[in-house]
Amino acid sequence: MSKIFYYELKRMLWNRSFWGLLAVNGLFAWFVLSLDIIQGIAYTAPFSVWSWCTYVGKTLPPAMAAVLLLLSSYYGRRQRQVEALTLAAPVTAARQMLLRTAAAGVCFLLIFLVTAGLAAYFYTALFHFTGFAAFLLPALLLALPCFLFLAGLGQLLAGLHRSLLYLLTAVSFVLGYCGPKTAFDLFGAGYFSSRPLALPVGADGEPAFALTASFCAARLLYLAAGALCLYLTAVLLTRKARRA
Amino acid sequence: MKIDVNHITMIYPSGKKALQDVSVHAKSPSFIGILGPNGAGKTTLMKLLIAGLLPTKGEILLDDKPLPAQEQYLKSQLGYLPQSFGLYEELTVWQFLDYMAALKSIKGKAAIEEVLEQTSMTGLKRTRIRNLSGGQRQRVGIAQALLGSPQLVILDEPTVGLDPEERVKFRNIFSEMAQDKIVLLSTHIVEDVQAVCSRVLVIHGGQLLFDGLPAALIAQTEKHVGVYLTQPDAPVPEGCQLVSKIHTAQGIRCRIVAERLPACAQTVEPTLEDAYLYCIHAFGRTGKGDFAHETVS
Ligand SMILES: Nc1ncnc2c1ncn2[C@@H]1O[C@H](COP(=O)(O)OP(=O)(O)OP(=O)(O)O)[C@@H](O)[C@H]1O
Ligand SMILES: [Mg+2]
Repeated sequence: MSKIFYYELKRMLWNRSFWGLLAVNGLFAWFVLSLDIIQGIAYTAPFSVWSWCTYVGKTLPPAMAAVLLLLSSYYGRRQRQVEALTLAAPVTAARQMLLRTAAAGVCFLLIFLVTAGLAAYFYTALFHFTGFAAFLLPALLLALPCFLFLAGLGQLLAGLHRSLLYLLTAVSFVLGYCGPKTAFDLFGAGYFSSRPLALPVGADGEPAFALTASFCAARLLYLAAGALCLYLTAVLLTRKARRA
Repeated sequence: MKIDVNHITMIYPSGKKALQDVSVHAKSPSFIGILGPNGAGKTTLMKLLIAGLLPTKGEILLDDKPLPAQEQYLKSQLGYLPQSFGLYEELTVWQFLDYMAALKSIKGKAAIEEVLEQTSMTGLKRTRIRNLSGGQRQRVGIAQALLGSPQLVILDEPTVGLDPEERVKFRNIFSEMAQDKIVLLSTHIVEDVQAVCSRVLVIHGGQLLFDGLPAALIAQTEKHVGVYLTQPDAPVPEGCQLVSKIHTAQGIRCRIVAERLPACAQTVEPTLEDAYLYCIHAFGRTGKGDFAHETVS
């Protein structure tokens, strides 16, 4: 199993487009930091958790677009031709799909580490700020459900028709920057940039950071929906394997 | 291992009937050649055997159990070369085989080295697949089918794109494998079957026309093969199927197969190729195979 994962990952990382996407993501993140976050989000400090979460929310859509693009190559004509060989092997189509989702997860993590690394540099260099511990949990709560949900839904749609995956990428972009500002905001930029405005200002001049129950519940929902989508994709691919 | 194909009919969603009431029984060791013209249904039969298609009617048994229930077992014992397939272009030959070995749960490098050796690809193992020639790609396809010496080897037109020398070599490799396994290969090159297969199936228009020893197919064609001398542009007599036309000093020597040979023709010993063509020809005339099915154990 680990060998299959290794090759899936190797093929993704090898792909010239991955490094291109990574560079674009880094560049975009730097713009967000230096044009947007530097001013502080919703009258909080640029290094407040609110600002950090908004930063994560704003960099997630292009990161997910990169992941969906990497995954889309598994639903094309070339892949179907290789599947003439791979689907005759004992490892099921469903398991192969899960392994490549995991490989895409590693690519996503790499992109995330680059954007987080840029932010860490930005915060230390400009503000001498190093209190990153409080950043970890909210970032995880944003990134993980977002990845699972979109990777699951994306592959389910791609299994039906590849063009639906591109449509989802476009829709997720729109939702990322002009979506609802509620707890259900998948990427979180809208939610975390508007929420502090509704909260009382604390002793340090800005609203204290807190994750609401509805926000956490929404994350759980996205995780569950993502898992369900992956399951349905597995069923779909198993049925398709019989018509190879 | 034992395979029973019982009265399989396959109709594609498009409505095309690709196979009609086909039954085949095989157990190891056996080396079966499937002959048939383009569109006969050879690939369809093979896809049914690897559970890549579900039959419209009939069932396939693997070791007396229905195939869908045996899918995992089948795939763990299977080496399959599809007629058309793709490879991951960016991997090297070795990496691709390593990947396929992982999918087949085959551990260690020995199995990969062995198939590289068998397919004369050892020298190319570090070459990226995108830099291979057509025949070399085909050999990578064959190599992955031979990985881990599977008990059931299904090869759909394996010798396509190979040079004559390689073809002869592969024929021998396959026949060696068939010593203790079931090897099934489809082709329209009669020579490939004649040289090595212990049993031949002739499929045409989705029907199984013949199932038996190559010698039996030949025997049934006795007295139906003839040669005669003719002029250029002379038409082939009615009811006859032209096998070959050779220019000689005396004129043009035609070799024909026919239910009833014309008076001008002189009867000759049939070859497997004549027998195959006669089988197809007879089917075209009567609309059904009038060849006896011989049971082979
Ligand atoms: N996916 C499909 N959908 C509809 N019809 C199909 C499909 N695949 C094959 N056919 C039809 O089924 C028939 C048998 O096709 P098959 O591929 O089994 O032939 P074959 O004997 O392998 O021919 P060849 O020697 O050219 O490979 C053909 O008439 C073909 O047009
Ligand atoms: Mg075919």
